Amino acid sequence: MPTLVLITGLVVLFGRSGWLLPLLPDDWNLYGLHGILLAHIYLNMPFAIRMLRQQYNNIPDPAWRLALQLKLTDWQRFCYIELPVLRPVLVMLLGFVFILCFNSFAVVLALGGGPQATTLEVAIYQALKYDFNIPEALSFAWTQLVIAGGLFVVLYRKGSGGWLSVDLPESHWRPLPGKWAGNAYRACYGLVWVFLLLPLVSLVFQAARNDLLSFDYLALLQPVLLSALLGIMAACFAVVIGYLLLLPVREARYRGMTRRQWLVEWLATHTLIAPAMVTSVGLYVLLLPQVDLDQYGLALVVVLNTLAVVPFVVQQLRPRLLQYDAQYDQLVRNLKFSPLCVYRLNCHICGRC
Amino acid sequence: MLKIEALKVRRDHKLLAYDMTIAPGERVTLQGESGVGKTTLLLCLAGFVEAESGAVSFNDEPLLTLPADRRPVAMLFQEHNLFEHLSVIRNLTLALQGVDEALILTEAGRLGVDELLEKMPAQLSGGQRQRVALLRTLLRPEPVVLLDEPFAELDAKTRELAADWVQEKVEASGKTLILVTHQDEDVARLSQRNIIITG
Repeated sequence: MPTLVLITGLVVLFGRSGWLLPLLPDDWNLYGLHGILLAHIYLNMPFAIRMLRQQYNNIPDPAWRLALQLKLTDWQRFCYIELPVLRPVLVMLLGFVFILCFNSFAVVLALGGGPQATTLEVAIYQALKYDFNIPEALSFAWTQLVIAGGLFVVLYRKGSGGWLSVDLPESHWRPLPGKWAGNAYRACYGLVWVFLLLPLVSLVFQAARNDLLSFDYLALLQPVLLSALLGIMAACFAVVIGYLLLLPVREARYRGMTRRQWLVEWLATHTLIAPAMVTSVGLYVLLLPQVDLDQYGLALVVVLNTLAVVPFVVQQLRPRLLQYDAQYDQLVRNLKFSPLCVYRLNCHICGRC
Repeated sequence: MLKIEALKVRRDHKLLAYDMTIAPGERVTLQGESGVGKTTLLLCLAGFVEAESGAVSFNDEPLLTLPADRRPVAMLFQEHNLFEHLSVIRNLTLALQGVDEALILTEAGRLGVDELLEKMPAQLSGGQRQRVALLRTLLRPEPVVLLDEPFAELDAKTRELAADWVQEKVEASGKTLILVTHQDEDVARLSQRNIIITG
């Protein structure tokens, strides 16, 4: 969900004249740590659910069937089947959510409420925007990079499981919960849906209060088209760059060079921990003396967006391509396919991502 | 008494029909060409495949309405019988709670898997895995035992050993046994009645 859309929804719900304000304690204030925490839960919970769901999908059908056949209790099933699959990613998941929150910018800028609730990312922005203090911005950027990068490296080395990897094919068989458990799960699921959808629903109602008939829709057209164009360009560049970055990874794996594979993988995904603000500061400082940034600002936006999404592309393509290599690489090399033919096969595999 | 009456199961767009009665403590083998529906019948009895119509009862208790984890059935699947992330002994003790550990060790010795207990399933051969799973299935308390090609990966000598052990355990406990096999020697050694499924 776009961060600013979410924040607007949260303001409608929990702001100073928010719908839910009567239900909240007297000292509630959305602008500060409360709001920042709430927004980050909204933003990261779907990611955590997706990640855990992927792990659940890793449990093979026979394990579920066997557990049922052996009449394991719910607790035994959790301890011996679910937990062993979830455990390797729990620490990594916590760490990555921490990095995402640590690098948070828009939420903190919008809901920070003052210097007592700010982050390095916002401090960099303020150093550049208000003080134009490049050394200070760079020192903040390096601090952030070292902390987030250090944690990322530790998690990458210690963690396991395909972070942001593609979904496995849907399983065919799952045990059905009992009546009570099923109702409890449905209630939980419903509550989470309400929790996640409320900000969006509130925006719909808020928008409906305006005079929608006389609204100047044409004024929206240019920014929408521009956003779409920037998005499409960044997506295309990112997919091409992601595919190219994976070529040395696959080659290193084919040759059994584990250390090199790890290094090139890290290089391919390192922009994940170099947040947009850090990268933009770097590019800004680098390009300022040579390029008229006012004139080429949009190109810079495309570059930054491309850099921001490349790690996600890499992590989506990587498992499929490595699986493809493991299954077919020898066959493909033996059949002496042309590079174009290999590329087409790769595209077929990646198309399922 | 296990009664299977006008049972119809749809599998891969094919309607399979079964009708048979098996006496308590009887040892029945099922034979037939591949794909004729032998495994499907066992999976249906165990609660993993839904029946389209018909009835199954054990001692007059209808089974089809019961979930798999409440059926009086212990089943050995053709494959994937062990949790790969648990050691052999953990696989056994997890499923055999309440069973004396000394008994597990003794019976493991008789099946020739007692020295494998600390290993992980991935370190075992197909035949060893199958014997561990057999041990677990037969030591469980359910009165109906379904074995789907339990000796397929065993050599002739181990096959004889395992088949004799199964017969002894089933006879001693009075359990009802349904065994799917392609081998006539299994029929000769274990079966009191052989049913050919024709599809």
